[in-house]
Amino acid sequence: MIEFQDVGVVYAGSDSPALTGVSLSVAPGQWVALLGANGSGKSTLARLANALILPTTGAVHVDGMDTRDESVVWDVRSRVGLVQQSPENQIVGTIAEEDVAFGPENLGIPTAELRTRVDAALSAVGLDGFQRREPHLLSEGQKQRLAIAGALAMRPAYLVLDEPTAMLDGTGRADVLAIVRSLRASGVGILHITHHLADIASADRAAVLDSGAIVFEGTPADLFADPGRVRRLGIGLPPMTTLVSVLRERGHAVPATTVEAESLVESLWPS
Amino acid sequence: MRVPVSFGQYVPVASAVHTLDAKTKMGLVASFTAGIFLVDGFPGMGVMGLVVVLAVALSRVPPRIAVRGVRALSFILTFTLLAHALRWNPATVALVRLGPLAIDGPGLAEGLFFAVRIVLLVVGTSLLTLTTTPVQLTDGLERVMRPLEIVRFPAGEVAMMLTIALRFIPTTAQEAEKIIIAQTARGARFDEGGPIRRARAFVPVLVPLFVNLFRRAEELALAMESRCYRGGAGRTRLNVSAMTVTDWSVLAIGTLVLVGIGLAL
Amino acid sequence: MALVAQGAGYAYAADTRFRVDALREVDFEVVPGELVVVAGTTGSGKSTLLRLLAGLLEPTEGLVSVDGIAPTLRAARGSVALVFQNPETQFFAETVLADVAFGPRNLGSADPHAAAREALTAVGLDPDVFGPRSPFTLSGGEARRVAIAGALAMKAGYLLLDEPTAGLDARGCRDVVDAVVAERDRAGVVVVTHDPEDFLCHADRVVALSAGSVVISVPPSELTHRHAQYESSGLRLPEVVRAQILARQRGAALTGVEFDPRAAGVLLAESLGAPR
Repeated sequence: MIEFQDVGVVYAGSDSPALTGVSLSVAPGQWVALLGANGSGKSTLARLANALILPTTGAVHVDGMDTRDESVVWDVRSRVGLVQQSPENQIVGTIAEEDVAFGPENLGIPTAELRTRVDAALSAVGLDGFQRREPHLLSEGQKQRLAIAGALAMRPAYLVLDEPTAMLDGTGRADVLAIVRSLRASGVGILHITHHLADIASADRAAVLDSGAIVFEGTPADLFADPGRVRRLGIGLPPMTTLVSVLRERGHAVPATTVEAESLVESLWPS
Repeated sequence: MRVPVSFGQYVPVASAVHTLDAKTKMGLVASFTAGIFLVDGFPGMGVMGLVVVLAVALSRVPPRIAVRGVRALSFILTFTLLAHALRWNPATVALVRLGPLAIDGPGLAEGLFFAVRIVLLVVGTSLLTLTTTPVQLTDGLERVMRPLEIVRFPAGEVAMMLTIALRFIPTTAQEAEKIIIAQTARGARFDEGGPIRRARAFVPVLVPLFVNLFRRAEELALAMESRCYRGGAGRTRLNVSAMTVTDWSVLAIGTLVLVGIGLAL
Repeated sequence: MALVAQGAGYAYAADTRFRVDALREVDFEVVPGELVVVAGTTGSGKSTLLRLLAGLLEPTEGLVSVDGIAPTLRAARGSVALVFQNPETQFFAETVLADVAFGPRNLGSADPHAAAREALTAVGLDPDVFGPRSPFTLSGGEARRVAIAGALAMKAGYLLLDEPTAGLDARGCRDVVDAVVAERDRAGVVVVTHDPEDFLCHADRVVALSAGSVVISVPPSELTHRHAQYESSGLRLPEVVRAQILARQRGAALTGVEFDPRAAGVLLAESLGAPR
């Protein structure tokens, strides 16, 4: 479990806190979505999860380990993988396989096992056969999937994704979300940070961060069912959600989390 | 306007030289350098020339590309030649005379000897980068530098720095090109006025390029730390290049021959 | 008066065996007062088209003209302005005002600062508040709008934008869309994007590009009839529009198509009648 307990963060040289009183948990096999506008403190939260930032007040525990305990910091980081928004800036290797190997190499994994892990991680993100490809020749979507493979090769129990789809087009976005779903099924706990409400319709839980504090916690359905509130929190409402809310106001039975045209039509005009 | 990228001059053809381990090639380059400095006469230099021609042929690198590095040295070559050939009022029979300055036979021979040495040295050593990928090169370098760790030389870290530099050269070149085009679209001119005006014209390119590089560096550092990078100690490697029997024999025979030529001729 | 491409094609490395045809026989036109959305996936040739229109590349076939003149780099300056993807990564000046004034100053404007102030106002940023600030301290949406102002300040007759809303949050997105749509009063506007949803309801025409060729060029209202063609180019119509197309296929009696999600909801609700 990743547990944030009443966490506050104040950056040196800043008067206002980046986070205040944040409590949140992510269990293995659980997909937790964290929404918030730019500047709401989302990235700070992501970095707390693997001890890149330490809480000023409160505590962050990963499987019982306190991130402030210096003796467990590498344990924490090998258990919590982090994928950031810009894929370009987190790729270290000059070819794909070397980048994926970077994390496990740092952990001192023997060479024979490295090969297995690298090939498995590339396969898990649909990049089979890209082993020797140079990163600058990949599309943005492929780069982001490579970054995810790099985190997966460390066999983390949790994955923190900080706006993983922000730079991607429709296909790239769908690919990343499919990977998230399959990782959840394989038991990885996921903290998915985003400002796209449409991305999180099938998440297990959702929380909203506003000016450094958690202002909503519940299921995605609760969030989708209250469009007015979502808008007030500065999060973009998917156009489909607006459409669905009109239908729901008029008494039509459509699930609030409907974001795809197919499922909407299926519930209104069943075949 | 394009950013000239002269890096990555690796020539991807299949040859015996390409399949040699990077460390073998580094060793041979070292022996070759020693040999060519030990040679002290035209016969020896001639044999070294044959060695270089043979190596280029074996590497299957087009000769045109193999000698490309020499062109950049034309100034140094001319300088070397003249510095040795020109004499002040020589007692010997001059071939050409310009007032008190003159070129005589022995001077010209000496100048030629040193110029040929530079040419052979450049062509011979550039075969290393022409037949070895940057990845193999940094790996090889790390292994070669490893003994220096005894005297606390950070071989792993230096190799990592080289790797990251190689990784970001194409990215940075792409970005520079993008910024140049964008500022051109805003009316910037890079080919007008004198040298100072031209240099100033690049401010709108260099500032964003460096701002982005620093931002990149910061994010990359975080990404590396979150992937448990803590220096070279305790790291394993995915691709470990091992020296084969062939490598060892080529290295041993090559070194004997190259240094032998140097000592004998 | 129009920015036109006629049978325009562009091939990279045209004279070598590495020749890549990025664009083939493209006919395209935008007139002042018009907003045209060019939709295409990665590699469809949309960025190449943008560079041809801006005079940054010369077509290897056909021709491109701005108000009757071929836009070589020199001629295009001042008549076509181009905003690249993530333009905020090109900031260099110490203040927002100086950065926005860069374009007009290069064009030899008599008063670049006045042009910069006007452009900032046009994108909804108060020049007195934002002008003296460092461009490196702005929020995502503000930075994007300042970069767009940098193009507007050149007072070009045509404004071209590459993925203007990419990576912005909801608020930043809305502000940028408003600023871009408002420009239609002063110029012909071309928006190139892989996801035209934000601009669709404002667009006069949608041009879909695929593998370097124009697949369709229609007013948005006709997209519902041509959706198969549109989606064959790897693009996806907005879910709100797809919902109406699918509903019609299932027998819902719908007339026309709504791009506004609220109006679309009302349209669907009306065709359903009272809830069962």
